[in-house]
Amino acid sequence: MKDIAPPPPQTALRPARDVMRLARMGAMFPTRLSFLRVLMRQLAREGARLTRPVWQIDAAGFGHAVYSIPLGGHVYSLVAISTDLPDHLRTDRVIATAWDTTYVLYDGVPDASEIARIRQNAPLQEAGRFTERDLVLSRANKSVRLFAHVVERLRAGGQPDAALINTVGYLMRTTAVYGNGKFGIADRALIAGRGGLGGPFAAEMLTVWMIRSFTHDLAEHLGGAPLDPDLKRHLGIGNSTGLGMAPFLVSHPVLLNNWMQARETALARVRAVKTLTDEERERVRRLADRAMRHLAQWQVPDRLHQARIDVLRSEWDLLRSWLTDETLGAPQPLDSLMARTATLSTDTQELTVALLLEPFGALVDGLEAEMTDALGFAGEPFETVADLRAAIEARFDWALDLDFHDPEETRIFWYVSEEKLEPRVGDRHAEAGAERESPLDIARRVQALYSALEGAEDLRAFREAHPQHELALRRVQCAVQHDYAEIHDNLIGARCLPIDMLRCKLSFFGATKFDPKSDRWTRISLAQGAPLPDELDTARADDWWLPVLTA
Amino acid sequence: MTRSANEISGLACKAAIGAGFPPAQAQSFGDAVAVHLAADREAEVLSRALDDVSDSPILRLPLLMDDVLRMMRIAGPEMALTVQPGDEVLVLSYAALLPVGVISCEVDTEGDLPKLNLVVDPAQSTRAALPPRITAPEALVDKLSALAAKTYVPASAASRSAGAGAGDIDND
Repeated sequence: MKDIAPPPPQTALRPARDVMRLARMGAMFPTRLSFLRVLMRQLAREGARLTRPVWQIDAAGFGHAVYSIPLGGHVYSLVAISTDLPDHLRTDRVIATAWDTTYVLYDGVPDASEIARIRQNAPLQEAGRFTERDLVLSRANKSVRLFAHVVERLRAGGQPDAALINTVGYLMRTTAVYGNGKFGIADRALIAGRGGLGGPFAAEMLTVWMIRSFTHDLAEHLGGAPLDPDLKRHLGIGNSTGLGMAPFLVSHPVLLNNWMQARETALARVRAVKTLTDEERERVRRLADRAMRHLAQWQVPDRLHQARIDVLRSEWDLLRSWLTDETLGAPQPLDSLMARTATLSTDTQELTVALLLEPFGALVDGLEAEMTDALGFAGEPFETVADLRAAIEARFDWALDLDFHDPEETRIFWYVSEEKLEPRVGDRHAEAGAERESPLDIARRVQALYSALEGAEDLRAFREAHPQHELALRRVQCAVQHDYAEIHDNLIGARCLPIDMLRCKLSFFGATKFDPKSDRWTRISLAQGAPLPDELDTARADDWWLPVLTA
Repeated sequence: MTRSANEISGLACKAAIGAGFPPAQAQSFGDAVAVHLAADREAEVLSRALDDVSDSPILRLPLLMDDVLRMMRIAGPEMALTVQPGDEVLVLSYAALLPVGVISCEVDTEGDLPKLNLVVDPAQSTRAALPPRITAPEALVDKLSALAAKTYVPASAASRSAGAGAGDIDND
């Protein structure tokens, strides 16, 4: 009989009423459980080698290339297409119809006819049609300023300016990375059982990492010289992310739960560590120093967000001063450290969470296996009205307290735009279309269900007579089994900031350098500091949390 | 034209919402449509289901599936449940989505009312895999698309100006 090791000890999990608030979700940082980190570890474990079997790029930088990499017993190829885009067509907005570069992650190695098919369709993006061999569809535009600078410097026999690389952080930024069946590409279910691509958004993250290599190669091709590896490593992939990403967290409650549960379990395990070795203490200090340098290099134009970063820098100095031998040598030191941040800002608390997870791969890394949701929600049906009401009182007390007669609590409505079929938000009291709103009003629905249950006797009869409450009932069923499935805030209230939802999801991707442009969209960097293809067999493969440029 | 399962499910879900069905039932219908078409079952029943928002399997069948789970707990894995006439085909597609193993599933139409005869395995929690491509009759796709369009809202100027992207041109 096989021995199964018991899970490591852990402290109590932070309660959902604290963790699942928008303000805290909007302060999250990437951790070693972020999907890009998980993917890099997997590639490193497998000794994967990225190859470039096709490079048909002309002297002006236009044409196509193919990159291939083995993973989990399969080979995946990125088909990259570079086209001449006039400046007046270069827009990050989803309404764009042309891009500098377009991409397909292909299942296998494409032959000439498949490459020709992809070259015909990928530049069309949403207007193209794709097959089950196409796993991810994406596009990216140049950061014109940095791309031109890098090429110019390389041509002149020099290297690009490190400060400019740090300021921008990427040669190109993606404006969409589509997966899971969109426009005819493969359903996620087709690859969900595969080693390496089974994790959430693994195919999308692989695509982003391979796109990054293409952007490096393209700049070196045009510049006629190699980039310095330290500078190159600091060139990630930018991304402009808007509302399209936000409803996902609401429409996938089990997945959200599993992501948060894994992260909170990791924290609870680390907090339970009784003593630290000298090496672990030193590692915590080194990482805190790195975080401090990262914060110093994180500068954004948005005044409010910069003010948050300024507070974070100041508090991080304070936290760093706490990392003495005396503090870290005390019993259960990481639990004490986390508790001590309670008086600091939410940003600092969440950065501390990410810091504490980083040195403890042995306690944390296995949890990534719990971050998927293969089957979707299948809850136990409630037997009685009393059971259902009790569950609402226990799990949605925060929703019952909201006053939906206050117009501010129903200020915004979410909808799908006619022009690009993308999620948007509108002002319910000033704009048309609220009668077609998307069902993100979970709190309002649960409160309405609770009220409607007053006096009801038979739950089956109630459900048959009131089908409009079925969504709320399912959410309650789900919440009973999944503590972190619901965001504990009113998503249609005036105080709801969709960017908090974006930050949460993007931090799970592994994004850094959040650069909010409004409360509805942000720019970010992905894979900045990630290992270059020839570094997957080095320690760099899993040591790039909050990268800093030291060149 | 063939489509991904997710395309079909998403379109059918939106269509059901556009037809006036509540979102949870619309979601279940979307999932069932992909299963239904993948199994090459009669597409016309899908179209008919969308026609009457007050009397539709889209409302009835999710409740029936909950009845299956309840019966399973109370009476064991073998059961027979009455099915509304007209729901005999679509119920098979809903049953395939049950969160338990379905050992056998058939509809008996010999009696006064159809019966769903079902044997389930509560210990299993896997669903049958869908094929990589699904073929849907274009007439059905046209109907689904027309209904789905009723859920879309023209983006306001304010919304457009607040969307992702720095402005109309991003040459920075």
